[in-house]
Amino acid sequence: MPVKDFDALNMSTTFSGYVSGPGGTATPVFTDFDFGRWNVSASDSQIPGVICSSNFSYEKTGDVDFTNPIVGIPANALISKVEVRYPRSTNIVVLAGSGGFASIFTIEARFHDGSITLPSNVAGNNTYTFSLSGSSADQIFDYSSSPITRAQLISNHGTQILFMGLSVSAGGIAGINNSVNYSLNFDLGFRIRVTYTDGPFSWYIKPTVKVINGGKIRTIQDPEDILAVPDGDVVPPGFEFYGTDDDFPSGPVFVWWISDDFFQFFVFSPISPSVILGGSDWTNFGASPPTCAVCLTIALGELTILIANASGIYTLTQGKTNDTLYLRADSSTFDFKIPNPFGKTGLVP
Amino acid sequence: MRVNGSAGEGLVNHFGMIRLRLKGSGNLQMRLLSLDEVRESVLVPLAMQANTDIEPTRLSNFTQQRAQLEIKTSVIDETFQISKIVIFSRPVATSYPG
Repeated sequence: MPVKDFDALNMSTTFSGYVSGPGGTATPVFTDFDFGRWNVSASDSQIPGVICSSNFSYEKTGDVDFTNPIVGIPANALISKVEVRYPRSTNIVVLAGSGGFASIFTIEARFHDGSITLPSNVAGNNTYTFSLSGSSADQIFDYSSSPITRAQLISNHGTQILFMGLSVSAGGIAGINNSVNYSLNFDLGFRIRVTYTDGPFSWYIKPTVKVINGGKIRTIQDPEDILAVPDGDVVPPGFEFYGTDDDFPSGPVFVWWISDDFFQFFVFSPISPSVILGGSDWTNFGASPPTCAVCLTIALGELTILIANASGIYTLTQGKTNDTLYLRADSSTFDFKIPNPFGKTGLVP
Repeated sequence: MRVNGSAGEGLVNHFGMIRLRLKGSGNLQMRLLSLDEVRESVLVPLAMQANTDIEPTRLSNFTQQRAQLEIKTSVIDETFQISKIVIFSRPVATSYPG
């Protein structure tokens, strides 16, 4: 049965907050950015009424709405694995108060299962930046023994809490005008492995992934960072996405496609992307990424899509000798020939 | 009482030449087609001009009972304007074997 991995990695979001005192209450601002596939909603569980004259803390949690990302998964698909990628890098910026007194903060950043205590004694108007990296925070839900449906995926993980907690405690000297500003930047992602029977199956690919099916390899680079891979008769059965350490790339998108079959794809962007095709010989398909004794990459050429999302309407114009397509995005036009205009006489004699 | 066909109906004809009053640009593609387009004869294309004092002739070698001429262009911005078509033919047999 065909298997696909539905990837939505390298998602980035930013949270920010603000706490100030003395003696007041904190009302952190919780800002989320919807990147189109992640819908991170604010679900405040912070301790209200933070008083800066003593130790204080609050937490923020973010729920991940899986509804948007899994639009491309057909209802009859069976999901065998869900991998949730927790923050790979986080920047915490702490700004102590400017009262001139000894303002001592102990910052503890908790990321789901992990708990990391940052160095204390961030005093004055100092800024401290912290980064978290590693894969220990990944969480894998293996349903391979009993695959679940899309509806069950939403039910089980629709409110999956991806992260996070940030607790801040102050040294606590009453009357000091302290403040804490922080911003968090997260790289998030998830992968859903799906087995399916039929029907269209499409999704967007953002990170570097490798598609392995044996045979040859074709490289597709989409400069617009958006590819929609169709399914059905186009995609041969049994191909699989491989994620590597490059799950969170920052460069252009490469899709490694290894197949003897013709590869067809659609670009829905109304711009004019170029697709670069290349080929290599690979030997060890079991490895990830596959290896080859002598990797020979052969450029197959470049396919430029002149116009996408085009429309046309016939207008009678005297002396016009061709057809014209109009691009919806910017009203530019593209002329092409009338398909072989012809005439026939009657039969003679 | 209706006469059973016109005088030449059913004769096997040889279509040996096409002559056109033709203006345009590009090359005019031509084919002679048999009944139901079972057989065809592709003629050498005619290079068209915007103005010409020649009615060009193209030889053909197509033997059928009846035939029709197809004309077309196949490249963008090619145009043709035809005001006369003459198809030369003569009978070569009275009928196919019965």
